[in-house]
Amino acid sequence: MVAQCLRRGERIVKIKHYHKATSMADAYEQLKKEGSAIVAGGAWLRLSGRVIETGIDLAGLGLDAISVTEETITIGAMTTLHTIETHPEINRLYDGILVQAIGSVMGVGLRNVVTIGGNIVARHGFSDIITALQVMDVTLCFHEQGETPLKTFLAQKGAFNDILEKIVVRKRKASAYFKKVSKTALDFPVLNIAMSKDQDGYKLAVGARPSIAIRAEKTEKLLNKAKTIDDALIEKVIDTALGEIRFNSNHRGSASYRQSLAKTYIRRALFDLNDGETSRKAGQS
Amino acid sequence: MNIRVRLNGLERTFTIKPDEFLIDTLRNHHLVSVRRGCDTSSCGVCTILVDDKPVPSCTYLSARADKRHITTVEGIPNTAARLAGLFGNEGADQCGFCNPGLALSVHALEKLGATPDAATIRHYLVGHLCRCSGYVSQIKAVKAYLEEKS
Repeated sequence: MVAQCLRRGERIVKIKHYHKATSMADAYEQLKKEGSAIVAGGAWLRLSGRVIETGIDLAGLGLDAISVTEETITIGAMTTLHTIETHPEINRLYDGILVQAIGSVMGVGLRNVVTIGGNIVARHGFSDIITALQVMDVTLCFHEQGETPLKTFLAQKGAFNDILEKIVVRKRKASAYFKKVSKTALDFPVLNIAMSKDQDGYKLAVGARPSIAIRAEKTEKLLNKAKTIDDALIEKVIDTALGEIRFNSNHRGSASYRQSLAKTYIRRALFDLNDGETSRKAGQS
Repeated sequence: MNIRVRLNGLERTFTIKPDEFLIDTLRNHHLVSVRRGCDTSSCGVCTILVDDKPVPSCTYLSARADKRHITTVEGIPNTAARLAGLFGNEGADQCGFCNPGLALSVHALEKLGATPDAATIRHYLVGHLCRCSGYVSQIKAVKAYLEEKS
């Protein structure tokens, strides 16, 4: 997960005071104070090397429940990834891509620590979960700013001083595709991609570019206008996607390698979502 | 600050620092079966059970363990002994450094019920790095253990 070894005591988070929040209002009041930070799962926080005056623990606030209605699935922000991936209904949601994305994050042990809220709020470029959520109908519920579409939250710039309470996913009849490309089972992604198709059309998100997942909206429009998905259209779709998604290089892969991966997996996603009815080339190249 | 935990069935109170992680709390109290591997949440060697769920103890804040049940390999002597035998049969044992953490995850997997196939076992145990084996013999031993129990 982290290539370089830590020397003991070095770069590990320092928390001077530990505050177990007694209510959301209490947590929010604490958060306003200089040097405070929310402790969600605490996994990434540990390696951040941050110095935190007061760590605010949300564990006692009952934010770790999953509730299901006819139309929605609501996931508490403090729900661990492993709890989510073992939930039967979430296994069926959008063809199970959220579970697939979560299942590719480290091992079960770490997934018993990491929370979905912590993963979303941290907005890591390498997040597989955010990529999958981007092609679903997702609303985030914050303590202060209230209901916020995921897309709006991801576009917000600057320091973030609010507390995520829950994630609401609207159930839809949809087919979906997710792929994480990584060098080993435990490694961060070199690239990840998610695509969904429902009554409103296609959604495509590409992440770990290495920056955070973005939606490819021009590409989506092109797909939604198309009457049939044939070879010519697929080529156009790929060109459009590569035109609107910016890739960069880091030690995991170069920008051009990421572009090649994106080409292949956009093709495969389209093939997958159309039950293999596009040209044979789509699934195999 | 103090935490009260049930450690391998016994009530214990530990004095901890706000930024202490369980691996340090436990090792400071002579639970040296909890081994420090990568110390960066990656290798699974320091795995323990908190409320019967496997977690890397280097990544679990001690403050959060207050009022919870903690199990180290000392708390599962039967599982550990049987697994050790099966690991021996399969030649899966080499240095043994990763065994306590692995045994605890297998114990948790066993408690889930249904006998899993090799793919499910692998999915559950990914994250337990072993630098000696190629995992094949380990998975065989774990499968034999779980089949024996069902």
